[in-house]
Amino acid sequence: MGYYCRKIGGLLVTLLLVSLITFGVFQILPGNPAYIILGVDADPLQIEALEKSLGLDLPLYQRYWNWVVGLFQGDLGTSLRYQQPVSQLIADGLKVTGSLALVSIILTVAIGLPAGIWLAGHSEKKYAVGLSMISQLSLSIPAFCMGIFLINIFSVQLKWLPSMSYVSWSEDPLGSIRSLILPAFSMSLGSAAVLIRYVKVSVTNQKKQDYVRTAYSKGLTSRRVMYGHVVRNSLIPVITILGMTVADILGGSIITENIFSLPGIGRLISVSINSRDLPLIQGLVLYLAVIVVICNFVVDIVYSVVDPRIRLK
Amino acid sequence: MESVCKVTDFSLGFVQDKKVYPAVNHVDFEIHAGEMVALIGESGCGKSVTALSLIGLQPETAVLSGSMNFGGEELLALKEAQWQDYRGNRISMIFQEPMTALNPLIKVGKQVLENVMLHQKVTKEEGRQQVLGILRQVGLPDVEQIYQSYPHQLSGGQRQRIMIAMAFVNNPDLLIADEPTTALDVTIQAQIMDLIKKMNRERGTAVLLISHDLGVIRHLCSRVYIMYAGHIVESGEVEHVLGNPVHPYTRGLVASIPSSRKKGEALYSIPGVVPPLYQRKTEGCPFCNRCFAAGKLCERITPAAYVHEGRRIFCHLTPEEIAALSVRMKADQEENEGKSPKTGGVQECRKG
Amino acid sequence: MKKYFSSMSFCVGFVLVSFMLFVLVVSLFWLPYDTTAMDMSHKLSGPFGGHLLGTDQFGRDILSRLMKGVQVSFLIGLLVVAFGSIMGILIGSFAGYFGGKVDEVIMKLIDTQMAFPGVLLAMMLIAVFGNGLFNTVLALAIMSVPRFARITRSGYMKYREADFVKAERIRGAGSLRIMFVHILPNIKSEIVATASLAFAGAVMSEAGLSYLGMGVQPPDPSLGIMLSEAQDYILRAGWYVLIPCAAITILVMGFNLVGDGIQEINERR
Repeated sequence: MGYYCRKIGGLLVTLLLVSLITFGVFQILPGNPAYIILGVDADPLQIEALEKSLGLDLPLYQRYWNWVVGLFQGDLGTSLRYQQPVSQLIADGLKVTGSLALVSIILTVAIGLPAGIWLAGHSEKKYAVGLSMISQLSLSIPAFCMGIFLINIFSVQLKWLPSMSYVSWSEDPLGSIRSLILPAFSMSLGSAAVLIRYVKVSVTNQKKQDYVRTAYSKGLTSRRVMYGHVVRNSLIPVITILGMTVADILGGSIITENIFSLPGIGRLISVSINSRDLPLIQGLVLYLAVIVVICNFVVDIVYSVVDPRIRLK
Repeated sequence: MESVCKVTDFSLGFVQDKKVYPAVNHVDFEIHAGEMVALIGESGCGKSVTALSLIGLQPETAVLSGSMNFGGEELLALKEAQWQDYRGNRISMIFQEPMTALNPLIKVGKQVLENVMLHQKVTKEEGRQQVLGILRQVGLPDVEQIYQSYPHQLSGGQRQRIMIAMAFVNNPDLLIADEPTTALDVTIQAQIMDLIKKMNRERGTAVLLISHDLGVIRHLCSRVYIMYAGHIVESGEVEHVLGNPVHPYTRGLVASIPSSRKKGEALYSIPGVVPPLYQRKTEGCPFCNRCFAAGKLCERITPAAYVHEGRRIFCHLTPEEIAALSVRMKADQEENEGKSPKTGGVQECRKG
Repeated sequence: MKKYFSSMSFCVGFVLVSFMLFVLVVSLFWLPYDTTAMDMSHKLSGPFGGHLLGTDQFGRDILSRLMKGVQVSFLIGLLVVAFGSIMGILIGSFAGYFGGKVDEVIMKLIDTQMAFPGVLLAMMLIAVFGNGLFNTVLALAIMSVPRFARITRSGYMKYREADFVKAERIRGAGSLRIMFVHILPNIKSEIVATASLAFAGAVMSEAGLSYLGMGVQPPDPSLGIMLSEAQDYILRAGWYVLIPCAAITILVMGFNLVGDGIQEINERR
């Protein structure tokens, strides 16, 4: 129980720090936000009114407090560009980014896990070198190049899959998946390459453990030793990698959504930065960071459930 | 007496860079039903790989020859699929390191149950009862709770008891125990050995015990094989071989064990170490470069066995010759010690 | 140095990096054309004509722009690694050497920074400080601090209780001296491997940021900008997209492989 208390405590501290950083960075902004919003030659009275409505005349800690209280009430401010509540914009974008991330993670696991296990059983040098080169290549091609090529091949030349058009889940489930496959695939390649390497190393290490010899000495077939003992134990370190993959995929969605014109969080971020829509940027950054922190927290908890040794430490 | 396992002319070599390095050479031994036999030797002399070969788990780079007859079946001819009926069922094994030999993520009860379900046609509940029974028999307290424990929640001794339970649960004909107490606390070692003996007696399982502990072996085993650098050098009844050793190597082993009779004397140690695999020569007596009695003949020709007082000895010399040379060696040693200048003492150093 | 060539990854990476270094050195002394000279009569001409790698939508020579882009990428990579490693090594040294509360606080901050995924942190900083080369470098350097800090910290934890460190302590050497004179040289190769990986990461992130219009500003030709300009012409001029993409891939893969190779050999030791 102490383990979980400590983990929850750590989560709260991290969330506090994330909120402080997100709030703090936008306070050191050079220039007066009111001027930025209204333009330099605005009426001083107007500026003063806006400062008041933005709470800029309050001391810093007071403004942070108000901001945090607002967060708990679901109030992330109002977007300057869209003139809509930031929380509403995030909620809309989340539907797209969420499904994209989900499809990507499924693809990553579906490619990475079997390939990694297979490779662990084939330790010949030619496979090892070949794998290392292919995975390095897929890690080194920028996601947007990959995206552009995928669009060119599958949408433009072969016309198998749509590009640049998002179909929402509620409208047409099949169409929705079809519209997400290419962007998800272009993001999964890199993560799958990472996952393959981790799974391979993990399985190879576990195969050397003493308990594997014990399992063989029981009379288990090598298949049952593999799936009943080795794979299960190998997956534990891999859970951590999955947590990192979520962060990678969310980070990658910023670029991928721009290539594929998907109206998700990532697209919202680049639009908001290019139009200097500060409340929207702040809200989005905070939101993504919180998701990553919570994902890592969940991974820790899952880890402790699967590996009984962790809770003792 | 009926023999459970008879090994004849067994050799094992490791292949590296297309060369074969012999690790075990023309070894013969036999284990009778229900008896406890010991295999003794220094680290690296080939006892563990021999034991692993008996259960078909030798390293992949090993090549085997000769014969291992187990209840009328030739083990060396078994296919991987056929091995599954033997391992854990008719032959089982206990390993040296109980801390790592159990899967850390599976409850120990389930791990023992896996053995039962694999080889017996019983329902899960019957299997569970059997497991609880054997856990009780190996002397574990509060078996219901132990059943639900993970390995890291148990002590080393408890884990080794689990391993023993696992090994005996299917009533095998043969148990191979590869230094089962080396990794345990001294206080636990005797308990575990006594437990193996008790299970051996109660279940009638033959045991091949690999150990360094001559005291335990004298106490528990009926016969013993002494192995050196892949060769058996002396074998026979425990009282004869360990009580009155003949082969120079056995003499060295016995002399290097502290006992109350030798109180106050300096302990003997055999000079040198077992040569590593790639430095071993193929002809001559394997022990000749460390042997006090070695002559010219020993370097060229591998000695054949002769029988003397209920044992087989692989040596060119007769027991009388060895005994005489041994006396001379001891005399020489004492003389040398007398001559050698006193070293140590406080030496003055000046600080610059 | 020699022992690293026994790693396949290192060898391949070494060849790729050497090739790009060659392009870089040549570009410092000679460019085939002016990188900004437009020639509207030769728009999007194919490779192997008057221009070796063809021209872009404004008739500018792609090879020259590519070589200039490689310069920009190397400059950014080097600066990011320099700033990032100095900050990361300092932070990691203190956390790893002193342990306890210092370590806990520093690592909590590092973990918090890792919560901002991918280029998000860099984008946030650019949103605040504005576009441009210097701000891009600063943002990417801050982004690379955690990986340097972590590797340094784990190295220090390994050597903190080593005998030679204890001996120094008994001789009365100060903490700073032990940290930077005695321990740091021992983890040199781990840091070099990390630097190589961080270099690759910086090149990749720069390309991504420029692609989104947040990194280096046109008309400076960065590899990311070239790619982002090229993508509209993929149907008419496929090679135009392929060229900057290949340059980025070779650069990133080269440094990744070198870093991996060094790590591989370090682990084998």
